Amino acid sequence: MTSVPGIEKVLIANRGEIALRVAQTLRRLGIASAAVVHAEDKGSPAALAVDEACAIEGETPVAAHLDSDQIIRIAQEIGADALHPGYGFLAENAAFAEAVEAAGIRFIGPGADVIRLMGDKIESRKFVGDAGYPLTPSAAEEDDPATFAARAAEIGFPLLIKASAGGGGKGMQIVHDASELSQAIDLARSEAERYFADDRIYAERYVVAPRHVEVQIMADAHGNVVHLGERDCSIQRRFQKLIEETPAPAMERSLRNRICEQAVGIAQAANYRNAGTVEFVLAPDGEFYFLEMNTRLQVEHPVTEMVTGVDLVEEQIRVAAGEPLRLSQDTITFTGASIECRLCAEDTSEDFRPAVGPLLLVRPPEGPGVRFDGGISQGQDVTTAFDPMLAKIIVHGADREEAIARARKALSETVILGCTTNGEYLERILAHPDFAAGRVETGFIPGHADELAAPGLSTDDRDTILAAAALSNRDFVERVDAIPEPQASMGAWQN
Amino acid sequence: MGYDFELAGTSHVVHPVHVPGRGRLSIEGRGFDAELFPGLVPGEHILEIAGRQERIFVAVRGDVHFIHYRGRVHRVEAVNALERARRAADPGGGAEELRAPMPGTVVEVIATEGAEVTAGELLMTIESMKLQTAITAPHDCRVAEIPVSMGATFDQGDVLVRLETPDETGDDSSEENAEKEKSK
Repeated sequence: MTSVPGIEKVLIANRGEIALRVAQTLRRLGIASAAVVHAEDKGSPAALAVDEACAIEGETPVAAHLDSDQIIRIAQEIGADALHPGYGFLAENAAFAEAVEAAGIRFIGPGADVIRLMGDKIESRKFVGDAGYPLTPSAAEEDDPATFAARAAEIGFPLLIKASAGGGGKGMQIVHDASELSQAIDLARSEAERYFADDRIYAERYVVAPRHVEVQIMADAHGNVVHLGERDCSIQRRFQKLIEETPAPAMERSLRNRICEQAVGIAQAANYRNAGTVEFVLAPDGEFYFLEMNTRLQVEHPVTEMVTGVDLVEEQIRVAAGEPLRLSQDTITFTGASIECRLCAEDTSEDFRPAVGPLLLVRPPEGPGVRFDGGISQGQDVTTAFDPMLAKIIVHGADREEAIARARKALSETVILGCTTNGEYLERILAHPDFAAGRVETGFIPGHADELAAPGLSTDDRDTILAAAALSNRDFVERVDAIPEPQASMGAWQN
Repeated sequence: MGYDFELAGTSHVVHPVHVPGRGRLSIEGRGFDAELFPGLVPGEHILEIAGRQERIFVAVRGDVHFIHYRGRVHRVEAVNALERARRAADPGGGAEELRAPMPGTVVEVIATEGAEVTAGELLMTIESMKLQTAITAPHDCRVAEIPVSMGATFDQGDVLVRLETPDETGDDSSEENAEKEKSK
């Protein structure tokens, strides 16, 4: 007997820490759990945590996890009532969500139509703008070529001239003041033609030192939508989040309320269902603009769980089963502060290059207010087959200061040996005075590159490390014992 | 007989020193009382050095030692005197290693061990961060060893191919034997 009527068994179509995390909630709810497992993950904590580990095959491990036909077939074979996609892989694939539902299995997520709408960056912006929510001010040349320059200047400087068909920064011009405008427009147009064979261009406000702020949404099939507060995810490298926290630091209550209310409005307009996240760009002047909506559980959802006490995966399952939300906006309370650090196999001194190697020793952090969401195990080989994220260290404190202190302690106590990680680097970010002061923005990491570099070693530390290495080296220790007495008494200083 | 331990790109000479009743070693010619005791949990050790006690975690893989100390991880590679002598006797020429420029996987191995190859000849194709790279022979030589196989993953700096110039084989082994004799 499960505690969610209608859901007896759930297939988790994911791996690693998120598969393990979903399995833990299923167990607590008395729901049978299954997961698709590629040979590469055989014996992983997630594979061991579920009641049924179902083998999936593919040319590469990632290809196996993207094989929707195979995954749906497995779900049917094992008699799953519902499927949890986690994040990544097929989580935001509208055709997959549709196919799962068509196979008579509940997709634990929003409807395929909303996934499709929000998955199209241009369509979703148009939808949100038409619904009356703020977008980065922009002007398209094709709307009225004669007035384009004037409409662009109205946006204010600095601004960007971009190719409509563009991407990856190609054909993009930053314009700092009006005197550069006409030349930049000509240049952008010719580059757009050259790179994309499409000379349509548009102007957009260039937000300097923006913050990335997002809002957690939960909605049911009965029209109820609530928010569970915001998260600041400004600490990023290569457009990937590294540290997330809630509440967003250095933000006035009125601004926070406005952002959260707008997110709820956007979800309502989209007729959204299940867990979702509305992402905004926040400018230093307090203006904020819709960026995109993620139609799934986020990697960083635990910080929201820490301050609200809500298990978001449980709410997702209940909503998927058709239950009305148990939460109402008035009953959701926020206690203290929470920070998540993404522990990744990468070399921060080599431009965050992914690292590989065997996990010779894994020792998660412990202590009050510390949560470790990891799908790794000692002895496992870290390869480039999957995403470099190994685990998430999440802490909760009475306030931000305590959360930072706990996160720093947890990071320095986490031991992962054999594969290079970014653990020390994350600790240096948390230790930075600008981070402590809440002065975060998406350019934080490149802007503080020098201060965040690994400090040198003192002679004492160097000696300690060398002695530890020598005394744990079998040959070296045997040699100590093998030295004959007369020579030993002379010492080795003579070399 | 000392050991070279490489830490953060610098080589340091560490000697074992036997003094009855206590552990002793020298680092760059300076002597220390030092002993390593197992801790309470796997990997944990207490290092007593120069009167201080330090809690560290250690994991060893071959010649590589991973040391977790005060929140930081250090990679220390041991190069014993034998290896050092071999390297010294081999100034540039002779044995040579082609190392991985970044972590990745082996797409295809073309060369075979023992094969004579000419400068520029394709030895292997690797893929790193979705980019394929050809590993070619830097000059005319012989493929001594290919320690990786197709589909294998490797880390930055791992040896992909060992090369040798045909003349200098054989020297290594005799030298190695001589060293072994000495150390007995």
